[in-house]
Amino acid sequence: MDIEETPAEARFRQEIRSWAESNLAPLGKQRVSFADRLAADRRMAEAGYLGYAWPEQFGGGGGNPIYASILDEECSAVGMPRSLSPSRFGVNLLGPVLMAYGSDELKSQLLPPILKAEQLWCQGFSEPEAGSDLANVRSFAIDNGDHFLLNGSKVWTTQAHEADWCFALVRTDREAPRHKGLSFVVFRMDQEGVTIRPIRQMTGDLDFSEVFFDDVRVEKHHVVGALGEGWRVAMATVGAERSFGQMSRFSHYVSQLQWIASTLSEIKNDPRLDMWQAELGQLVVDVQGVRDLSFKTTSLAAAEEGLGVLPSIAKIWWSTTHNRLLDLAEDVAVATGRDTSYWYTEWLRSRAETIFAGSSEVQRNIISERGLGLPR
Amino acid sequence: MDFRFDKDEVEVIEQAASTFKYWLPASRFTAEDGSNEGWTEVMKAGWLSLLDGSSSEWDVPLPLICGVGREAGRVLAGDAFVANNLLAALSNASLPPAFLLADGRTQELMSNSSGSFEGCFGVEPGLIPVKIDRDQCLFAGQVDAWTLKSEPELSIGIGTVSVGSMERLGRARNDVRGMVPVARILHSATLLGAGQQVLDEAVTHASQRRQFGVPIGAFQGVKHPMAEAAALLEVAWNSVLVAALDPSPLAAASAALQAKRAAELATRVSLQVFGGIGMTWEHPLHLYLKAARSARNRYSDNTADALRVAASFSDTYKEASV
Repeated sequence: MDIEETPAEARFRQEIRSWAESNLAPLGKQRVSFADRLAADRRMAEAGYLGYAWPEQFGGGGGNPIYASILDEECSAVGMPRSLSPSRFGVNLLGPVLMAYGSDELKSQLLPPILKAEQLWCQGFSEPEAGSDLANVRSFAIDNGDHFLLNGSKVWTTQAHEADWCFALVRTDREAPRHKGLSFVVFRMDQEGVTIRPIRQMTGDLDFSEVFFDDVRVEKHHVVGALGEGWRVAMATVGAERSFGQMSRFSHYVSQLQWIASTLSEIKNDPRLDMWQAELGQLVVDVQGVRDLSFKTTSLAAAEEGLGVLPSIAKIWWSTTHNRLLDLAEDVAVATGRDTSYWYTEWLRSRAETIFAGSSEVQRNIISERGLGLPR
Repeated sequence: MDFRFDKDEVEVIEQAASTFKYWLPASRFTAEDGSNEGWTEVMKAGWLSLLDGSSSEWDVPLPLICGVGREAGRVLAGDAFVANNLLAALSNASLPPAFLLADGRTQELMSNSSGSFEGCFGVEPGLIPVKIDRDQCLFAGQVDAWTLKSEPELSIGIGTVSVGSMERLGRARNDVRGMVPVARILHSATLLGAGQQVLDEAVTHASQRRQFGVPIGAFQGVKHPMAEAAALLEVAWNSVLVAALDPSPLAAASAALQAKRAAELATRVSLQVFGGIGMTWEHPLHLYLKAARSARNRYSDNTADALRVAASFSDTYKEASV
């Protein structure tokens, strides 16, 4: 057992660090716009770092999960965490699913533009009646001869406006048992019948949208996996969604803790100071917990062992820890009057973290049923 | 990087687990006869001399010793496991199974007291008392020449020990203070064993016990706190292993913060799951609850450790920003 980097891993980190410093850092210095993030993706693509963990046969770098984790951490260190990459839906979620379930035609059509950051994707899973209960999806694709016609809606769709394509879980059989009547499909977002309505969040930002489908055309050869097998295919992306990017979270949270530590050092005579310092200490240790979970998941993944319920534990851990971190930061910001607008926004934004990508309650069900073996 | 135990290590841990379970069942604390041959057998099997202080590198890697310690914790043998492995690293003489005459509520393995020692942990019949004085000299008492004064409710070998004459064994082989982080990390590992054990038993109970026509473990009100405990045990275990790879005082404080919190949550949640049964003397759950609760101030308290971590983090940042 060790957490030391091998000489090869250390060399890779050095290589990435100097590359990111000259190529990504200039983009990450200011408030990072969508255009900056896309530019960063394209530079990564040119350098061969986008899809670094993809197998070489699909044009990837063939890097194992440890290298992917180093890449993630170093990009985050210059303000370009991979968790905000516009290509993440294609690279992290759809790509591996296409490799496992897609036809050869789909792979050769869809994978290369993802690796060049030429085509961006969005994920169409959640619906008004299908949040935590994802299998309750009602958007329906009806057989229309050589294609399907899709009607219904999706919600909480990130970067719907910017995406060229959508991968979605839709119902294709209303008679089948609810998990069996679903299919995983892909379709273009710029076609007639797709209407996007941004949702204004409590921060004032417009990160998500509602997407409405009126007779949207879905090609028959654009079903991933077999018709009616969509649930199984979708679950492969859900696990992936929870496993990536722990190291970029770790370095981002450490930099937020540094602001707290430095601000606390300037506070005198506040009766809450000891309490805040103790909470800072506990948070430092809890944030290390995010890093340690990454050590474990990347080690297991590199050895091609199953991750079990670790992605669910990681999701609960980083979201609740970051919530507490921002509780403290917001308190300290208000007490000192420093950077209050930034921290208030961050605090508000973080409230969503225990809800999106599988709520804490869903994760606790997974941990207790699949991890501990408790009855459903 | 490979943050996993290899196959051989897993096998070692499994062997240790079955030895502890057979010779030192947790029920020994509430058994009618006070006899205790188990520790001698565990020592014979080699599980109490894993820390070899004669070389600068441990022969057995510390993470693996933590893996064994976690199994000792499952049968509430953690305190004596830590004490005996420390003594194996410190003593030139080969000692029979022992407990340590030191106030376990401070970050101090040494004591200059004589006669009466407050705050001893891991005190069990069949063990000898050993003292380390401030000159790092070791002294041993006799197996039946000591008495334990304790709250009768506590029942897990914690309290004030009185001893008569002790034999001087010579100086410790290694710097005793330097062993504190190792002791703390091992202790944290044993606490997580205790927490894991009660959670496992609670899972079994919640899967069998039926109310309203279903196993109670099917209710989210029951299963979700258990999931929380499982998550915290996982995080704390990783923290112990990371600390064991580089056993600094700060890493030990981090591991202790996580392990104490996890063990306390796991025992509280399990008590709630067991309902009335967990409140009885007959069921061993109360022993684990008491062990986790009394361990909160072992070596240091959580507030002091958290302040230590915060101060170190702030210092590092100051240096980094200059």
